Order: sequence, then structure tokens, then C-alpha cells
Amino acid sequence: MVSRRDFIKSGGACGLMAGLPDELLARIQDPGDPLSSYPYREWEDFYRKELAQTRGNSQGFAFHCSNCQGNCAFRVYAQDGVVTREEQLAEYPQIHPDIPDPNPRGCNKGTIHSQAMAEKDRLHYPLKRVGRRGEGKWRRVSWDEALGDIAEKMVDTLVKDGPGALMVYAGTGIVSQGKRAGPLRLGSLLGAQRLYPSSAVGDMFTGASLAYGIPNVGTSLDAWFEMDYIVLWSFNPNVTRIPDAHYLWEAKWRGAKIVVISPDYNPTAIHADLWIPISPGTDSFLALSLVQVVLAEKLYKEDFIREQTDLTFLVREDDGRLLRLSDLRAGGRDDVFYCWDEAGGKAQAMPGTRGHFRKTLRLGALKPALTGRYEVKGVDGKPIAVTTVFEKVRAEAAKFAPEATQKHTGIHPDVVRRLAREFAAAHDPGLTIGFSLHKYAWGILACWGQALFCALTGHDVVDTEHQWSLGGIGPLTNPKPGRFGSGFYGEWMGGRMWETFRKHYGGKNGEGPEFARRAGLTPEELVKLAETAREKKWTAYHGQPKVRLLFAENIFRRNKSSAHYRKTVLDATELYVNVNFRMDSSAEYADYVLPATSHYEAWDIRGEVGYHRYANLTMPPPGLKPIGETRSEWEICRLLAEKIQAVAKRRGLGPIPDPEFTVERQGRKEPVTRDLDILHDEFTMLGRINSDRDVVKWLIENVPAFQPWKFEDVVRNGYLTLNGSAGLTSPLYADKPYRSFEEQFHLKKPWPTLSGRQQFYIDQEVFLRLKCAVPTAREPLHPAKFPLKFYSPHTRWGIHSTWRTNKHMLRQQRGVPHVNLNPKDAAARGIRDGDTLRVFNNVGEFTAMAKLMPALRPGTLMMDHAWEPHQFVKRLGMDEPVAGLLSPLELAGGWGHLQFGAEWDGNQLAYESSVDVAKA
Amino acid sequence: MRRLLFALLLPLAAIAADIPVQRVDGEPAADPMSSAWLAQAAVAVPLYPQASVPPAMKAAGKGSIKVRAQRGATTLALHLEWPDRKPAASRGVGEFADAAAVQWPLQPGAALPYIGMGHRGAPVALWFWRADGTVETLAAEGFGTLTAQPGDGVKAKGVWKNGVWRVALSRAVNKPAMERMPVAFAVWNGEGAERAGLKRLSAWQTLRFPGATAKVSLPDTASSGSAARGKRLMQAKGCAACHNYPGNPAKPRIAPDLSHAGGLHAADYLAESMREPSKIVVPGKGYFTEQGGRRVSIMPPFEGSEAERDDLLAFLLSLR
Amino acid sequence: MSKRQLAMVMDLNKCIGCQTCTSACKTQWTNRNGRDYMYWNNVETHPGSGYPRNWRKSGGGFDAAGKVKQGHIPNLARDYGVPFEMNYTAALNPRGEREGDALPHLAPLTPPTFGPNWDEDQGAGEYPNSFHFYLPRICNHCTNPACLAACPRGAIYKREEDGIVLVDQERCRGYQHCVGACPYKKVYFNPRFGRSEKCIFCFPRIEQGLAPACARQCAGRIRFVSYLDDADGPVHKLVTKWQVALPLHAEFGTQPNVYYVPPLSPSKLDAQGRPSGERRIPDAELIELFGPRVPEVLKLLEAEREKKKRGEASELMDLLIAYRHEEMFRIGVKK
Repeated sequence: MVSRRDFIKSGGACGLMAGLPDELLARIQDPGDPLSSYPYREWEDFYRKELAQTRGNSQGFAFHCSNCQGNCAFRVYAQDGVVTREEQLAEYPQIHPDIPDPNPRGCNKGTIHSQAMAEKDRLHYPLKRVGRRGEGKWRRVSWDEALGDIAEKMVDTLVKDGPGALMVYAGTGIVSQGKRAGPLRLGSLLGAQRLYPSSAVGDMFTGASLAYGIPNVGTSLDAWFEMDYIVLWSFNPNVTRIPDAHYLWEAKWRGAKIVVISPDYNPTAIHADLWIPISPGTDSFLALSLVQVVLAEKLYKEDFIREQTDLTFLVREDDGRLLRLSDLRAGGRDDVFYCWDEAGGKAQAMPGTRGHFRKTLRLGALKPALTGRYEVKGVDGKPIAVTTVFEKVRAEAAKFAPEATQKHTGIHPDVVRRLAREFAAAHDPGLTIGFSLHKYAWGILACWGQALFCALTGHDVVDTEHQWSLGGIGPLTNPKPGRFGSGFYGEWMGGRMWETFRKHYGGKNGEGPEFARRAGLTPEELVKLAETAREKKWTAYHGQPKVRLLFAENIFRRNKSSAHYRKTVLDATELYVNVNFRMDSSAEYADYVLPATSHYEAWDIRGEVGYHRYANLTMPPPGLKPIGETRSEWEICRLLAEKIQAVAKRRGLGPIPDPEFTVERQGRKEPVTRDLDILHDEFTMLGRINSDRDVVKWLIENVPAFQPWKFEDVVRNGYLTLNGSAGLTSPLYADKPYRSFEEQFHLKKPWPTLSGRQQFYIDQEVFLRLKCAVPTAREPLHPAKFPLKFYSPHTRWGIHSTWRTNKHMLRQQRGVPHVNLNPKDAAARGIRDGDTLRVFNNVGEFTAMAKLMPALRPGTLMMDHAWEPHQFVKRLGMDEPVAGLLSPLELAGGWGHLQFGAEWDGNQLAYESSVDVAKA
Repeated sequence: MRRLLFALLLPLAAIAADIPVQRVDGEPAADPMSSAWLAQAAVAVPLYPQASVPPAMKAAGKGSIKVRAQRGATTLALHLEWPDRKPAASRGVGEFADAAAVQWPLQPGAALPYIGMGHRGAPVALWFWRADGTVETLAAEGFGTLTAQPGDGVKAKGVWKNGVWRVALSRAVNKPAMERMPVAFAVWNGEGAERAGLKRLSAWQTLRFPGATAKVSLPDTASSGSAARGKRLMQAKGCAACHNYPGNPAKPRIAPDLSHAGGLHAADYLAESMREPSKIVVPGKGYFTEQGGRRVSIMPPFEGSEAERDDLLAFLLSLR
Repeated sequence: MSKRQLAMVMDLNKCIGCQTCTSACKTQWTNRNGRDYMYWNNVETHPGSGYPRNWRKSGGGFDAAGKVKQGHIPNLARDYGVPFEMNYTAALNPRGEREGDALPHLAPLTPPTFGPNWDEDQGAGEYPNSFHFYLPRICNHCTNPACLAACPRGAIYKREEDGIVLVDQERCRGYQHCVGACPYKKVYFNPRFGRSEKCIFCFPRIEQGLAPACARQCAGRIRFVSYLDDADGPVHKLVTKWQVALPLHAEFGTQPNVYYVPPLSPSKLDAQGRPSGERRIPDAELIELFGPRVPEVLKLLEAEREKKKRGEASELMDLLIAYRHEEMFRIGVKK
């Protein structure tokens, strides 16, 4: 670098003395005034080179296949085979000029995964336990040894105890179609049991299932931008829908009014027009009050509810059951229902019900009455007094005027009335709820009430979590019938959760008057109801497995009354294998830990999440160096299948009948067989699908909603756009946000409910017994003996436990687990911000740092969820004091559309325990 | 034409000391704790807080450094010793390390470089030692122009013991004919957040090599004028409007602080600065304007009688 | 003076506090080379102590006479927070290499006492009328940078072509005068390199036509980047034409070039829990940050929002909505 003035020295004795030759002196820099110009800018290459380094010399694509519904396309950069950085692709097209494009998507966590994947908690090698479970003593073993041992034990167990003694479970750490395919296919071929993850984690929108027949309904999230009145209820999208939240605030600039309803002044509320603070767990009261206002003020849309809901259906006054054809005619069907036709002055069968030959909602000449009391002649000739569901609903709602519910919700009646009126009057309102709601016992009622509120006002449906219908995946993931079990129920049974349930809600002598008054049954009756649900097959439970093969399933992090659960499960498990990319709180208790590839290191594709219309691809950057001996889930399953096949052949095992399932062969029912001796051939479709890349290619070729994309084009693009068939209940138009149930609203196709309409009357025996045949409200179950209501909504710093222990994410928090409480509650206990607290009740306790937040409702204790237990002192995690609890209504089944399966399963409840805190 | 500079350069500062360079057999000791160093008599040199150019020292504390010099077969070495209650050996966020520098003039000319790291056309070289292990050769021609030079073999070692830093610096020299050499010193106290211009520095001193022909008489340290009259003239002539000095209640920061003018500058430099302010421009922000690539001091040339000038000079030389 | 100025507008009404910008910046620049403790981009909850702690009271900037003021240099542990060194290996033993007995729990080796988001979502006020919002901050690339003025070496300069303020990494000698003088505390000393560093407005990305990482990767779509004098650019329109984007702490005297659209806020609730119609963030709180024009800007935003709601055209609302992500950035535009 040359001095700007470039002076030449004449040389001299002193220069020589100091040892500086003339040419060096010329380097003396005098920048002059750097505000006007600067002469020495060559150094800038320093940062240019760093940028070049982060952008590397090869590129791949990825999304982050944790249990995040965001599903955002990223570009992944690698330098000489090592991932350096990722950046959102941000190349999704705009679907319509009037709707903001979805770019860039992504969040804090995805943007840091290049760091997390190389962190020191990363698993590199198969490990075999050499100490006690959880002691942390391991021996590094070869894949061959690990899988050989596991295969022997699995074959032993299957032969001796049947396929149901095996559990092969793809958990919520991997939810993409690519990564899940391996464990699902292996489990299906073996007949192993697996639990329904959405239920196990408490993410079932059961209230929506009651009303609509399916839990996941609503819109793609760009639809927010079209709405003019948006209610976000028990929903915190600024934290939990980071890639899509912008549509809300863009809608706000477009003129939409935004209302947030939540116990705390949450990060979404800060941008709302109105925040309505609500006492936790009392949402069903608010929902019913809204219904009451709409009914009392006649804000409802009669034509809409006559056609689209069961409110016109007749109900028997004597036993409270819906009037059925079987009530009127001997041998009549019990899935044909009646209205009172005002045109003909008599009861008429409603078209569109499950049993009706006319599969339409069109009423034709029928004029179903909304109100009134009528008489029909029963099968025995005696008159039956009947009324309408509408009358029942109105009578129930009348108990919940805003003035009556204020004492529960803490919401002023004026606020409720205004909300009801504004929503009813809005042109295109939306009501979106979050996963939090159903983590309360009466979330099911709240959601059902919300659905009723939406229906009465003629406005669409409650928006839960819409999902696409991809189709075509079955041959890959479910080649043979498998043992699909209820999630919430499986964990309740597996963890003997009734024990902590009794302790927390039952009181000293096993009675629970407080619980009984609020729930409508005693704690013991709830435990018994759980038994009944199993006996009557309202739910599906396949017993305690002896072998657990868990993929990215952090059971010991998320299950409640953690230590109790863990002990119960481990005691019953003879072999526990955990497949994972990091040592999480569940992997550390395994007998074998198998290291999996992480999000950027294997091929993958995901497209079922209905927030946007893109299926994203993971393609590792070419030349990527593997981390340790990690392998993809598909590869792990394939190698295990190979080992099992070898063991079976060695033992001379032929087809093993699994009589629980039958197939038709040449007109004869035969038991399904588990063919261990050809397992690898079956698994690979006779060698057609050997790798994770093959899986992705197969999916692109076989999933109808992916057509007409070609593998090569997706590989170039990083994502594909779903076609119109991805919509389940509406077409997915290329230029419009998706809204579900257009087929019902416009084409008048029946709803997937028993009534064929939005269902607001359920006469299943549990619902009748608990007086919940129509939407109603119940008090939350928090025991009063501990003063603080404890709840733990989603954090913005992890997707559940993934990234929860990442140091970059931790630095954006307090670095150690912290609980949040209102300064008044803190002051009453002499607690200051930063103090170490003991959080306790009669079920368990843990230690955490205090964070004082005026945004929190006094009387509550809130903690961002999913801290790993191993982040706590003594490894006692935040779910230690959370008691087991089931919602009695979610145990119901065997009725209409309430049949166990993907559309009807319950929730493990998380927010109904009470605690106290003290300085540790 | 090559000349020995010392004859031209002297007289130096008002209080310039004569630092004899002791001839040693072999090479001077690299270890500053060596008895070969400690046995030698040291010359005490006063240090003054840098206040000419911001960021300037706030503390008015003067200091002192003891200097020894040795000449071996091929190297010249200096030994510096100064008190420091607590060593600061590392740099970090808001943390600074103790340091010392030796400054040499580089450009032969009629006048010595400005004591504050030279001035345009009159560069200096520096041997720089810092307690974090840094040893550098630097060059500058005025404040803000310090430029690191490629390593030229300067070595330095510092040891802190019992409240005293001792640092030995050395470098090969190949100019045996020298007799005298101007040199100056600066010291930074790290725990006092001293770095850059926040330092204590000396006036130009003289390094006298073995075999120097004669002991040159030191210059007059006083003017023939009256310091008391000079102090009054500082107000009358408008100096007080821009310069800070003891007794100026306004404490202006428009021009270099003169609180230690007599300690840091020679009489002829001060006289020249009055006569011809733009000859050596102190490179502080606002002290000058750029005119045609040339820096022109904002100070007007002194207007007044010779007697007045002498009085002012006498006053300035009294500021130590 | 630089000939042109690249500038940024952040719409605080859209900021969701997700820190994707922070992550994006960290992996782009500050996860290595002695920068680990730095956040060139941070998002702080306001009111709050901010990052570094109490930066707004840390001094620096210029006095009334235009002289640069020396502020405090923040303390690493107390004011920035030390990067967490986690005991992953000891607590988790993921490679099976551990010997010995009880596993410690996973935690930073040094108990944390502060970090860049320590008081996230705490805010001020009392339930149910507490209030807070997110304030993302980068270097303001000031027109009159205090860091530049404070550097005795002239090693900080403003690029003539885009006004980006840079610390010359070859000439900087780590004196940290800039760190103290920046009133926003957006210059950091790099202890490994022994020199100061700061947000470089991603100039190497800009030169390739890429928006800065924090802006391009912002999931909330709150950041606009274009030249101040580019009349077709969103920044010019928001700052100069509509005048809804305001500088942060203009009184510091540095003429910052990052501008903020001040946030509206939900209605306060009265003692009975009814909305009072009054915005819950006190105007004074915003005026302190963004100056006296805040109330009129908020009024204008509400008025334009009403227009848009009525179906009338509003260029301002359309700008803030930002229909096309790529149009939020005009960085390759010649004047």
C-alpha cells in the first residue's frame, strides 16, 4: 500500500539507524479526512473473502425436518464438503399480485442449523450402553455389531411375544415424508406398534373433529391477508408461526382488525388492535358467551345453519338422543336423522347424513325448523317429544351470558359483546386457534363452541392447522397393516399416568370433590372411564412393548410426570434403541444409540403442511463429508431389515401369521404374515429403493399432489408446487389462498361427520353422561391447593427440544431454564429477577431461574416449553410437577365420526396442573 | 551528502538529557533484569501527559522514566524502567495493556520532527513494546499516521516486578560512525485505559555514543524574557482564546494544550511555531485547514515586538 | 461526504422479535474469529436495558458544539454477556468417551448473568396494561459517525459510493475509542484480532447484488434497503416522501441512516377491563427514541390504514405491506 502523498525519502543516517529503508517509509499512511474519501481500501477483500468462504464451493437444498410446520426452503452452502452456512431460498413465486409472496420464510433456528449440526452434542458413532440406563457410560460399537444385536432381540421378541411386542416409532423429531418413510415401512412390515404422535404430544384439535369430522381444517396462512377481522385465540403466531406471521401484519396494514385472546400479553398481542386477557383454561366460557350473544341478539345466519349444520336435527326430549330412523321404524338405520319440515308440517329425514341415500346438503323443498317442540310417532306407536338441536344449543348457551362468565374468564361483558358483534358483522373474518387450547381439559369444548360461533355467524370454520392431502404414500409407508395406537392413551398406559393423576387431583383419600364438581365425574370414575375406552375399543392400545425402536422421539423430555413416566416405561422395556442426531434426554437412557444424519445430510422431501403450497426438498450439497458414521433413517432401517432377514434365514423362519389382521386371497380371508426371511427384499421393494435419494425420487413420482414435477426439476428448484389435488375438502387453486370445505359450502357435499353437517349434537354415552351433548363450558381443573396455574407454551428458541440446547439459541435467552411470573406474585414470595427458584407441587419439582414479566397474568406461572430435562439441576425437568390427565370427552368413541384413527384421538393434557414456587 | 545529524539537531528540548551509550563486549543483555543492565547508572527523563491532540490525557500527572543504553558488537539496546503499581498484560474489551515506545527521527533536516510522532515531511520511527507480547517497528509522520512496518529485527522483553516495569529493546545497527542521536520515549499505563494519544511522553533527548568527541553544552532552558509578563501577554495577544495552560480559566480546546509546553518542546520550536505556525502543523482536528493540499494552521503568525515574543517564550518554557 | 447513502428502514409494526436477522448475521459474520461475543445485529425488547446493557446511557455521540464525546466502553461480562461455553461433552458424553461418574447437567460453564436478549418480552407497565415492542439494531452507518470522529488514526471511513462505514482492518490498532464514542454501541473490539469491528452492512453481499443478510433473511419482512436518493426505492419513499420512518436517537448527533417506522400498539384496558382506545405504549416512550414527530407519524399510519380498509388506494400501506419480497431491496441501482 502506498501513501497517498507518495513522498520519496531522500535517505539518511537516522533512517538507517532505525533500520527502515526508504521504500518502507513510503508506506506511512495518512488517511486525511476519512469522511470525504479514503485511500486504503484494498483491505476490504478481507470481508469479501469471508463471504466467499461462507458461500462455499458447493450448494444443496434443505428444509428443517423437525416437528415444525413452517417447512421453509433453504439453500445450504458447503466448503470442501463441510457445511458453512444456510440461507433461505426466498424464491417462491407470488401466486397473485394482490397477495404478498411468501418469501423469505425461515426462522432463527433453521438459520443456525449449520452450527447445530456440528455441535458437540452430535452423535457420531453407534453406542452400546455399558453402565446403568441413563448413567452415560457407553462403548463405541460398529454398525454391524449394533444392528446384529438389535435384530436378534427383535426376532426373538416377535417370535415369542408377537409383533405387538415391538414398537417402531418415528417421533416428532422427524415428520417429513422422506425421513419418516423408513421407520414407517419397517414397522408396517413387522407389524410393530406405533403411537399417533399428534395425540401423544397433545396436538389434536378434537373440538374441530367433533364439529367437522376432521381435526385439521382451515386455510393456508396467506389467507390471513384477505381477511378483514382476525381473531387469534390461544395462538401466538409471532412465536410459533415465524415464517408466516408477516401475513397478519400485512393484513393489518391492509385494514384488518386483529384481536388476540390469551392469558398473557404475548409477543403476538403486541401488534394487535385489541388484546383480550383471559384466565387460563376458561376459553370454553368465552366461546359459549359469544354463542349466547349471537343467539340472543339474533346475529346468526339462518339459511347457512339450516343447510350446513345439524342445528335443525331433532332430539328426543326423553333420553336426549338424536331422533333416528331406528326410533321410528323397526330395523331402521341409526344413521338417518330428522328435521321438522315446516313446509310439510312433519318430521323428515335430512339428506346428507351417513345413512341417507341422498349424499347432498341441498334441502330441496325441505324447510327445516330451527326452533320448536314437536311430537313424532315412535316405532312402538307411542309419541316421542322432540325438539331441535338449535333449541338445545340455545338453552345451554343461555347459561353463559357474558355477565355470567366474567367471573371465570375475567373478561368484561362489553368486550365479549363487541367481539361477537364485530365478528358477525365482518365481511371475511377468521378465527384461528393454536395448539395450546387443547392442552387444557376443556379445549375440546372451547373449540367446539368456537366452531358453533363461526357456524352461527355464517363464517367459515375455526382455523386449526390445515394440512394437505398428499395421497399415494401408502404403498411406501404402509405396505402391510400395522398396529397404530392412540398417542395420548398409549402414553397414559405406558407411563401409568393415573398414579400422578390421582395424586394431584384426587386428594388425600382418593376423593376429589373439587375435580368431580368441575369435571362431572370423580377422579376414580375417570380412571375407570379410561379402562372402559379400552375395553370398548373406543381407542387403540396395543400393550407395553418389550422392544422400543424410537426414531427422533424424545419421550422422556415431553411426557408428563417425567421421572415417574420414565421409570415405568424403562422397567417394561427389554431393549430400547434410540435413533437420533444428537444426545437428547431420551437417547441418553437407551441401550443402543444409533447416529442419524441431520437435516442437511440426507435426501428428504416434505409437503403435507397446509400453511403454504410448497413441498421442499433436501438435497445434500454434492461432496458433503459425512459426520462420523451417521446414516439416514432409511439406510438404518434397510440395514436393520437386512440383519433381521439374515437372522430369520439362519433360524429357518418362514412366514409368521399375524392373525389380528387378515387379507383376502382368492376370496378367502387369510391372516397377514410377517415375513422376516424376506424382510429386506420387501423393505427395498426388491432392491428398487435402497437409499434416501431413492425414497425422494419415488415420492416425487408417486404422490399425485406432486405431479407433474419431475425429479430432475425439483433437484434444480429446491421445492415443488403442489397441484390442485392437494386440497382435501377444496381444490387448491393456483392463484388463491386455500380455504377448506368449499366442497361443502359451494358444492353441498356432506361433511365427514355422522350428521353430514357441522355437528353440534353428540349423543355418545360419555357426552350424554357429562351433559356435553351440545357445546358447553367447564371450569379448568387446576387444583386449588397450589396457587399458581402452570402452563408451558411453545418457545421461539426451539422446535420442541430440537435446538433447545443450542448455545446460539440459549444466548438469546437466559442460558439456563427460566420460569416467568408476574412481579406481584414474585414480590409476595420475596423473589427477584434472576433468583433460583424451586417449582413444586405434590407430583414433582424442578429448579429454574426466575424471570419477572408484567406481561404475565398474576396467579400463573409460565415457562417456555421443551427444555431438556438434562438442562436442569439433578436432571429434573419442567414436566416433573405436571400430573397425568386425560379429558373424559376425548376418551369417547365408537360413535359416528368419533372412531379412533387419524381424525379422532385425544390429547395428553399439559396445562392443568398447579404449582407453587419458592426461592431455592 | 551525508552528515552527522546531531550537530544540526541540537539544541534539543529545553530539558533534554544526555544519555550515554555504554559499550559492552558481545551484545547487550536481552533480559531487562540482568545485572549487566541494572548495574549501569540510569538517566531519569521526565514524562508529560500528551495533551496536544485529542484524545488527550485528562490526568495532569507527570511521570518519569529511567533510561539506560548499551551498544554491543552489532546491536544497540535501550533499557527503560518506570514505576507501575499493577501490570496490565492483556488486551480485551475495554482492557488495555501497558506499553512503551522509543521514537527516532527519520528524516534529516533542519528541525527535529514534532515530538508527537513527527509531522508531515518529518517522519519518525518507533520501537514499540506492549505487555501482551507485541513488539513492532512503526513509522509515522504526525499523529494519526502511525503505520506498522515489516519486522526489522527489533526485539524487546519486559518484566514487571515489585511495582516496576523494566523493558529492554534492541536492534542490530550498522552505522558505527554515529556519535549522537535524538531519541524520545513514551509510556502507556494499561489499567488507566491509556492507549494511542493517551500516554505520557518525553521531549527529544540525546543518545551519546561511545567515542563522541565532545559533550555538547545543553541549550538555554530559559528565555531572556519575563515569564510573568508572558503569562499576561497570553491573554492580551489572544493565545488564551484557543490554548489551554495553567491559569487560563477558559480551558479552551481549540488548539493544542500548552500545559507542558516547556517540558516537551525546545525553545526554537516554540519560537518558530509563533513565527510561522504553519511550518509544523500539529495534526489535531480543527487545528488547521487544508489549502491546496497544504495544511495551514488556524493560528495567525505572532504579531508583536521581539521583547513580547521573548516574554511569551519565557512563560511557555516555564510550563513543565 | 459520501456521494450516495445506502440506508435501511425497519417497520417495527411488523417485527415479531424472532431474531432470524440475528441468526443470519451471526452465521454470516460473527460466529468466528474472535467475534463470537458480538451481535452486529441484535433485537432488543423495549423498554429494557437493551444490548449492550444500558447502551442508551453509555455516552458517545457529539456535544452541542459538534465535538465527539467519549462514552463508556461496555464491559464484556456485565454489558455484552460472555458467549456460552457449554459442557456438552461432560454432560452428554455423545461419543462415549467419558469416564468417571455422575453426569453434570447441561449448562454454560460460567453461570450466565447477561446476554443480548436477557430481558426479552419483559417490557414495562402492569398487567394487563404492560407494554413492549421489539427494536432491531444494526450499525446506523451514520452520515456523521462518532466512531469515525473518535478514531485518532482515521482508520474508520465512509465509502464514497454507498456511505457504508467501515473500520479498516489493516489500519485499526484496537484503541477502542470508536467503541466508546459510538452512542449506539455498535462497534466492538475483537480481542482475537486486536482491532475493532462492526456491522459492515454486508458490503460484500451488496456488491454482488444481495441484500444484507439481516434484511434478506428477515422472516417478518420488516427491512427495506435502498439508496436514500433513489426516488424509486422504498427507503426514499418512506423516509423522504412519506416521512414515516424516523432515525433512532437523532439527538446523538450522528445522523443515523437506519430509520424506523414507529409501532402502534393495542388499546389500553380500563380498570373494568374495557378497551380505553388509548395506545398502550406511551407516546413519550416512543418520542424519546424517535423524536417529536412520532405522534403525527402514528396518526398518518392510522389514517392511511383506514383508507386502505375502505378500499381506497394507499401507496404508503402498499409499501409497508411489501407485496414482493425482492422489491424491498433496491441495491444495484445507479442514480
